[in-house]
Amino acid sequence: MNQNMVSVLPIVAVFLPGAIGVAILFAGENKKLREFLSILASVCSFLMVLAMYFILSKGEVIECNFADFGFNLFLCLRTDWLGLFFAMLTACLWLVSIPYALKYMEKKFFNSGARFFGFFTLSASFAVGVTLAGNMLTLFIFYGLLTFSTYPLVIHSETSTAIRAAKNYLIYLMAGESVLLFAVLATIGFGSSQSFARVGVMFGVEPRILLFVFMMYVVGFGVKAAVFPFSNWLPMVSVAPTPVTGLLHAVAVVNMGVYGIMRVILNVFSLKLVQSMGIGFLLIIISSITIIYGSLMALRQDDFKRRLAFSTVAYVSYPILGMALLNPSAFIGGLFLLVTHAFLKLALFFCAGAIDVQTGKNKISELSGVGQKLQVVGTLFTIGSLGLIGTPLTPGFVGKWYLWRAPLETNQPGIIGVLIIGSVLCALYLLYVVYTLFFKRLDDNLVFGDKLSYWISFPIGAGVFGGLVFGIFPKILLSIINPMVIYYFGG
Amino acid sequence: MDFHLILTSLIIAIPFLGAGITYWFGHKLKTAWDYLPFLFSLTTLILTSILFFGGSGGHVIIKYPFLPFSKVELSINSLNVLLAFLTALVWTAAMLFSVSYMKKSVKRRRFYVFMLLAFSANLGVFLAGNFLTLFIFFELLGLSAYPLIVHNESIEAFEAGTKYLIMVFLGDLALLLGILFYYKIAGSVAFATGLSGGSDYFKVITFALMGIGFGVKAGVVPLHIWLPDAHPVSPSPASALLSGIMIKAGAYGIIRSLFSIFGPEIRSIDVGFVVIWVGVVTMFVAVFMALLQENAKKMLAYHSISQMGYIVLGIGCAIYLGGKGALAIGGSLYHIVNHALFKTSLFLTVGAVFYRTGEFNMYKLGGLLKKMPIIAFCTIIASLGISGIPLFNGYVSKTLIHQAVTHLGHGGWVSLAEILFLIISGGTIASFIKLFALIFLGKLPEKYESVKDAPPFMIAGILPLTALVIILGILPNRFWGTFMIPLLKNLGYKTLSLNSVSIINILTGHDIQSLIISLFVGILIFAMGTKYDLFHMRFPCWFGVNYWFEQLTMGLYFLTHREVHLPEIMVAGPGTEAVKEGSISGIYARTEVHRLSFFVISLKRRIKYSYLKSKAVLTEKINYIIGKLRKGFLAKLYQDLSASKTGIEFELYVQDLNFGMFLVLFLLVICFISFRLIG
Repeated sequence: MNQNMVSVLPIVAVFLPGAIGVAILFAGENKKLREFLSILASVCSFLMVLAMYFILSKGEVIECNFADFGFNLFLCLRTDWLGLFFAMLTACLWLVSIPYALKYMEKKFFNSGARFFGFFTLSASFAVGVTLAGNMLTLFIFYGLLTFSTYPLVIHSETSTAIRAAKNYLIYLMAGESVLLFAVLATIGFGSSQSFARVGVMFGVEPRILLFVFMMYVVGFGVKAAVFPFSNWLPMVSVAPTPVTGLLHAVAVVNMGVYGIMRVILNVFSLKLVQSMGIGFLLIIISSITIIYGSLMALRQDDFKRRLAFSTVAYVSYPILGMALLNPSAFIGGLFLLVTHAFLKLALFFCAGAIDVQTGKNKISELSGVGQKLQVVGTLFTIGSLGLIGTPLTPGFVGKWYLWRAPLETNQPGIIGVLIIGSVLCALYLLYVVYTLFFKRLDDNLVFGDKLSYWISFPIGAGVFGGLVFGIFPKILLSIINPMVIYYFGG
Repeated sequence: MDFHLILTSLIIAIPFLGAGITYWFGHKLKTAWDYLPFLFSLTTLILTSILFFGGSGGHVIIKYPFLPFSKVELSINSLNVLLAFLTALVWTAAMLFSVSYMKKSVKRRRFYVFMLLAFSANLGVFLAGNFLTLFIFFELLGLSAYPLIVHNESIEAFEAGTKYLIMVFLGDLALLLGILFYYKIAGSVAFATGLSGGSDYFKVITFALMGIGFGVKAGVVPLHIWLPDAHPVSPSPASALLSGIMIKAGAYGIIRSLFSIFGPEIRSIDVGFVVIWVGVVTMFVAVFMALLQENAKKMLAYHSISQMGYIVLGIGCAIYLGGKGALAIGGSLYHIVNHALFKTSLFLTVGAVFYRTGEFNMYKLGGLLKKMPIIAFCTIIASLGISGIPLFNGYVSKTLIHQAVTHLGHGGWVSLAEILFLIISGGTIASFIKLFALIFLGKLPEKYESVKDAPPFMIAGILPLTALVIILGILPNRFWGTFMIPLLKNLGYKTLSLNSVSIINILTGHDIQSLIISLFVGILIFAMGTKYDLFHMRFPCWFGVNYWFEQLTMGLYFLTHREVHLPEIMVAGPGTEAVKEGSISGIYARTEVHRLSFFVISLKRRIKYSYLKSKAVLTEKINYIIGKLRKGFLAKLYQDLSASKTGIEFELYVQDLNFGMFLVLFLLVICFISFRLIG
């Protein structure tokens, strides 16, 4: 079994980029320094996570306590495969999106780069912190920090819509976190141990209390994962600058919600407990509703980024559904779709941003034929959309293959209906954009900017092709997922 | 490395890479690049013929361990290789044809790129070694055909393209689901010869799902609705391939899935019965519709559906007859080959006529026989082929399928099916008499006085196909013995079942008798049709699947698009300028907005209105309460929180607060419940 190894690596991975983020805040308007530090932070985090990957592949788990408050309360960082999976995802995409963010902000906004990049770096490192947290208290603290540090990013443009969106964002997420706090305290109070354990920590607790704690967890993490009744903040914050909507709100923040739910089911409760209580069903219903609701809403949007945001709402529920089915195949499928979504949705958001930079248009109805001029962006958008829909040779297909198998194995054929409807609607709302970009007549009065900078087009390409690599060579990803499946599902 | 692995990979990779090369470097070669796509397909044809005539004989599975789940496999066996060779042959002919045909067209780089992509995908479908690989290439094929369909960028093209995409996408989902079911029963996705596990019920569902998936592509009634719209609007070479080869991917899929699930040697009477009648209905509906068309390409498209009906009928007979059905499935596969040859040449000849005259409407053409003699010759050969006249290939396969139908039994529904079969054959003959007579005979319109015969590249593309129509017609037993017998063995028939069909006899008394009946019926239909003007008969719009499909999609459209200006669509009839502006709304506006959907929309609006009204009342009341509260202790808190105090900001702010209040209430309720539960 896994050995524990004490190392400061997780602390460095979280706090070094965090410190650099603070440094950026103090660096002020020194643009060269700011750019250097931003890139440095993302590279640092990426290298640390990579180093941890090599340690973990030797079969060890990294642990590190760093603050003890007494009363059985302590903070600790711990890296296992599940955490590392999300940490790698975040770090990878952070690295990809930094060049884009630098160029995009230079083109679109002229004010306070220090605030933006400082908090951008901070929130990304807090997101890594959430994934590396070793117990629920630590996770909760990083979770709150992530929320606070993204607030200045949402409000960045300082228009009235942005201010309103940011306020709503805070209301939603703080409400979710206050519910989460109850749940975390209950876990600390009732749980047999503080750290995450394979067999769970909730032993000998009354079923109704368990049910209640579970529901509070679902609400608490569900707000961040944008499940149905709590999903409206996500489309609202699409007014934020594109790198923020792309990296933080389509990838990091919502993924942290999913991660939280997975942690709760796998480590706080345990698969056996959840199965015996039958509460996975609750999550199945919530995520099914979210998938259909998000897709239908996405169809109705004319604003490009809002459409993508609603699509995020729908898509992020697939991993939750995959987790809730409590089946190894569904789990693998869910994680595949999560990775697909992270890479490709990032790229799609970046495409939307790139089109905005080039033409100044945000509405889909105004984008007729733009793809004929911006061929690279248009093509990448098409490939990305096909990937999300789940065309063969994309990771979306691999995910679909695993996820669709699961309801047949667990004899819940109704879920297949949800998956089919979700898939059809996904095709409708994304292919309509592709159709508009390429086949509608181009408006001759549209003014295009200069040639698209490589700093913008390259990250889009990296996102799309990074995703495609997992579609063509899914074994790379399976090699990370398989240890988890063996660990939690027992082979 | 293995010889077969390299060869097969190259066959699929060359068109794929060729598409990339055409896209990136093609236009830099100036005039030469028009020939580039043709050269790629010619290379592929040469490689495929090495595979085809090299005759590995056995069954070779080629694995790619580094690809998804290591489950991507290609397989070389007589069935796959025959179809792949056919694909490469027809595709190369169409590519040669398009060298001349597409010269005038704009955006031909896009056309060539997607032609080559579809080529690669189609070869992949036929060479696939298991269902997963088949699915991967099938979906790529479906997607890469879309740009070919909308190539002209007219409203009709987009309309057809959208319909195509929706249908194909739904079909692919059904197919994926079917493959997952198959995987559950069989434990693998490999092709089999009959599954031993799984209940019959489960097997039937699996086949139904896969059948829907493949049936959409094959154009089986009632899933055919996209086909008569999509095939005619694309440029002629693309229509030729869509009708000639791409729908065969569907037929091939049906054969593979049926034989994998139920097995060739076991009689599955119920499934066979359904498939037979699906085939007959498909034949009948499509021939009937074909007779009413004016547009030559549309007529040909309907005939594609009808000929697919023959193929499906043959498949049904085979599964119904079990071990004795080798003749039927042989007939079907023979017809797949034949149809590819004559339908492609028909589309290409009609395209050549269009190239010179600019007209697809048969009633506006005439007397071109003297102006375009070679094209007329090719048309008549292909028409004789499709009509099932002896000495041409169509006769062989149609007779085989007819013989299979007579083997089904006597009396009852079998007789009905046989009578329908003869009438349908008659209808086919009638519509091709009509095609040839209207285009090439009669009086030449004055504006076509200066028309010349088609350019040499076009003729070079069509002639090999017509030659094959004759060769396969006069040497049926040769073809049957060399290619069909190993192919039937590969499908899983035992040697014992094959002994009785090692030689085919297609000139029995019964065959000649039914040929004469068909000819008579055909001439009768043609004579009656022209005399009483029956070919211009039209039906009310609700008569047919298409109308209901469009109503359904229109409902979806209104459900999902907020900004639909209904009155404009109502006022602007089909084809008016206002409708043409936005092509998507144009699509649905062209179908009549009938009472039902209008009712649905008005209902939706009413609900929305009442919702807004109640929301307004509620907001007013809550605002009143908050206004009271605001004067109290919360006032200071508001000032701190609120970023700006302008009028609009405040409105928004109040709305946020409503929401905040709601959340606080929610939290309180949760706390309350928690205390009740814990305490």
